[in-house]
Amino acid sequence: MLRLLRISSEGTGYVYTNTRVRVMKSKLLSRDDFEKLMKMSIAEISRFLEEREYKKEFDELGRLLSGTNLIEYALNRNLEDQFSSILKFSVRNAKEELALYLKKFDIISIKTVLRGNISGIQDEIVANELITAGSLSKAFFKELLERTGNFEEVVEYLKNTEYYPILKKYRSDMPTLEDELDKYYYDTLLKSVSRNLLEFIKHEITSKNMAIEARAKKHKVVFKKMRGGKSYSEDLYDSPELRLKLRKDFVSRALKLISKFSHDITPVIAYFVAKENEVSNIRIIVRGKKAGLSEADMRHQLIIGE
Amino acid sequence: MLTPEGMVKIRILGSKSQMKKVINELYGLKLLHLTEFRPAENFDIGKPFKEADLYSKHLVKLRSMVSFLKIGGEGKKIPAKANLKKLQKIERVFEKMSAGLEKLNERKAKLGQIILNPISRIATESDKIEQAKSLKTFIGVAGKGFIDELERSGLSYDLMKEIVGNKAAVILTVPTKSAKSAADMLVKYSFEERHLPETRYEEAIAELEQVDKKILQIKAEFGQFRKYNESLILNMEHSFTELIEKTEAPLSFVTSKRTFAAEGWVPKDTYEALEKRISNAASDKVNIEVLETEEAPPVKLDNPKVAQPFEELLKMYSYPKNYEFDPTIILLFTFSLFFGFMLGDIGYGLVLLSLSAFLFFKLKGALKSIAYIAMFSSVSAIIFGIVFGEFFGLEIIRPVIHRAEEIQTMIIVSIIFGLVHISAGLILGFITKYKEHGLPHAIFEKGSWLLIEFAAAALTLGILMKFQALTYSGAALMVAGILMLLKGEGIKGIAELPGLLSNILSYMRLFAIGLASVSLAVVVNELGVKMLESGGIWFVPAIFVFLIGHTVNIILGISGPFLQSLRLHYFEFFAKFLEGGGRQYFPFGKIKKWR
Amino acid sequence: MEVDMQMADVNTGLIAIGAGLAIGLSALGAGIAEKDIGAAAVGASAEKEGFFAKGLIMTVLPETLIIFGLVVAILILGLAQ
Repeated sequence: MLRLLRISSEGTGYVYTNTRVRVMKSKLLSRDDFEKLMKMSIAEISRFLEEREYKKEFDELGRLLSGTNLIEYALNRNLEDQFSSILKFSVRNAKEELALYLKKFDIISIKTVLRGNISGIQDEIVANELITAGSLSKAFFKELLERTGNFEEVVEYLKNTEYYPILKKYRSDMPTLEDELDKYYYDTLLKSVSRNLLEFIKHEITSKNMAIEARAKKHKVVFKKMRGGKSYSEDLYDSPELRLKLRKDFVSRALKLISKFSHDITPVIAYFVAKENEVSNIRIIVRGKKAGLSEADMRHQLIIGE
Repeated sequence: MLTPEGMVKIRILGSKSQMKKVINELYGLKLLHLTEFRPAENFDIGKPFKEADLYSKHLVKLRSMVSFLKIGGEGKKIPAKANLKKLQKIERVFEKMSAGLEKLNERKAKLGQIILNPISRIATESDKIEQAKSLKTFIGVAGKGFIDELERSGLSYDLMKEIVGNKAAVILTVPTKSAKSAADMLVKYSFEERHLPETRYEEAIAELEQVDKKILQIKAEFGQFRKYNESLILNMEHSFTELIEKTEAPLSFVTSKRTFAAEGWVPKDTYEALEKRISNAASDKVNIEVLETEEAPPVKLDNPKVAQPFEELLKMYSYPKNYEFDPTIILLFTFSLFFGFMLGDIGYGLVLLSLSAFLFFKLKGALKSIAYIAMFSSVSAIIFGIVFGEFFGLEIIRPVIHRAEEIQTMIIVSIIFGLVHISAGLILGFITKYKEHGLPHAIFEKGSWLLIEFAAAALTLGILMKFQALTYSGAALMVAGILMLLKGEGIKGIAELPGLLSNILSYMRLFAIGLASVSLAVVVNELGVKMLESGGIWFVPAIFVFLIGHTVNIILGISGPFLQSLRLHYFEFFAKFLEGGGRQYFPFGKIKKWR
Repeated sequence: MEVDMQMADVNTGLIAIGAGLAIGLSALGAGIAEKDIGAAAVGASAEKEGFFAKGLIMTVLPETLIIFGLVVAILILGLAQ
């Protein structure tokens, strides 16, 4: 009897979480919004976003920053805030799965730190680039940046994390290191994720594989595909056009999955994808403007699911 | 009154040189609900005016000031350009103070970490800790017992230690050959590694005090800043917001190199005046025309002032489409009618009246409307209280109908309310369908339901009263009605037949909730009276019983009837004629609230 | 209202149980139905204030079940007369 009650109450938990995520979906920027953004100046874009769901981050960071810095850092912060808040109001067993998915950001942050170290970028700039939406906190990375000087020290500092073996093994070869970290991430994910998400994750892996293959071909290096992805034909990965189209389909699918009724965290993960996509679109526009890209070029790169 | 205001779609075409003047005029008129364009092959939406960049820059800063300083209230319009220099000055000051506060907070966090790090009581970064090749140093925290075990171990070592609570901060140096045994020993006592801190514990505490003081100082400075500049900030924010709406208006226009076009909706009656004003402002260099279109216009509700607050109830459901009925006036009557019927108590009604009247004068906006609705409904409750003869559950006057006893009567009255309400809904639906699709559709889709309803009533009455003619004619009409329904809505309609019965029975809640309310009140009273009759010390608990009992009943009596009356309107009444989904009329120039 | 404290016979008792079950079970059913609707309503209004009223109304939609139970209970009690 108790077990029955527990199962049914968990179901209600999913109803709560998924409904909240569905409402968040409705607040994402529309195609019309992006059309307008493309016509605005950087400051106008900041103001526009401040009037939408990015208000908190722009209000906080706007005291000290302005221009493209403000937008870049506010976008990062917004992802952190939203994802950690979603994690907070998720059902108990969903939390574990979500935390596992969010480890993606741990890896991205580690990569950013390592890259920054190699390129000699200032600690403060690196710190602001980080999106600490995973299990490693902002404070952790701040300490890391403060206490480490060279590459080796960074790797050693991370010796208590699960990534240490990989970091140690491939520390002399950055591109391979990055790929190995991704591989580790997806392997872990594939092992413990639920059935519904499997399709989704596989799709992500496939598109990542395509990117890897294209890059490897370009630099004429040897590469190894990640497990779990689907096979694809030669011409698919070679053309950035098709890769873009694939990504567009992926995002459209994600948008639909958010609204689909399900008793698991698929809508939440789908929302993560859609939200990351929105932020990426905004970045394309902002960086495109800074670089003087034409509207047509920017519009071409935007991924707006219909 | 019963329908939203009529709208026409217009297009304003002109040369770009006139765009600014037209925008200004439109903004002042507050009449045009702009429709957005989506860029396509041949045309593009316009670019904002250059000034939008500057205004946006300041707006972001102003709004972050408002949010940080927690400034509340509304601003009013002031000349932006004239105050610009002053604004820039306070922006610089604010930025400087913010940067200062940021630095202090960072330092405070750092000091907090140092203080939490037990190693700070032993050594710091600047102390020279032995780092020779033949030695291994461990720096961290372990269980207290570690120290005794280390002494007993017989290893040679160099130890700096400090007991902090039940843990020990240790800096242990051993020859490399003993490193493994030392490490194993440490693991046994849950050793956690730590880093050497920047400064010592005592210095950190002292510095923290200083930093806290400085933080308080800056916060006080912010307070002063806010006091002096509050109104300037609010007013500039308001003014810039207005300017932004005007300078970004081109985003809603279609432009080419030399011309622009704007489309939107205006209330039919205002078209002539608007046309004159715009043409004047643009020195006749614009062309304004009415467009024929199938599109659905935005909806502007048109109700007399008395009924306007009830629009809130409608908004909570959905805006009607432009061609549908606006049931606000009906809500005014039937919502309060049902509410009063269910609450039906003079005492409770008076309590609600005073409460809602108080709130009405204190609140603003949507909540004020709700208070108004509550006031209206409470009067209805008082009237029904007189009919039912109830005052806090006590029978103080002779009731016209006794709620708890004349159950049959109550049920019949509820069902009659239901029949009337639903019929009214069906009639409205009939008229709407007639306007939309013509008479045949109306008859088959809505008229059929009406026929079935009356046929059922006739049938039931005929059976109850054993009036053969009525029974047979009822049955015949029922068959006719069902056939019409089949033609009008197909199988789906037939499947909804039981729904009609359920709808009518739904109105039973008018009686059911009323009964619950009375019964609870009576129980409270009886209990309290019994306590009072026992005399002596039972007096105080009796008072509690009355207070708490009636308070709970009032809360139930307000929320229950409110929700149930609303639900009856939404699902039994509205569903018959209101599809909803209209968008609100929001003309260019009306202030949007971003906060 | 006076309560008659005389012993009732088995038939009356059974009728009373029947009426009680009619209301009790329908209330239980309504409760189970409203559980998830309420969760969704709360979730939606946590994100957007405007959903509160509509969500509240939708949550109490299944109350109709209880009214039917009440009607049945009253009809059953009518049998006791």
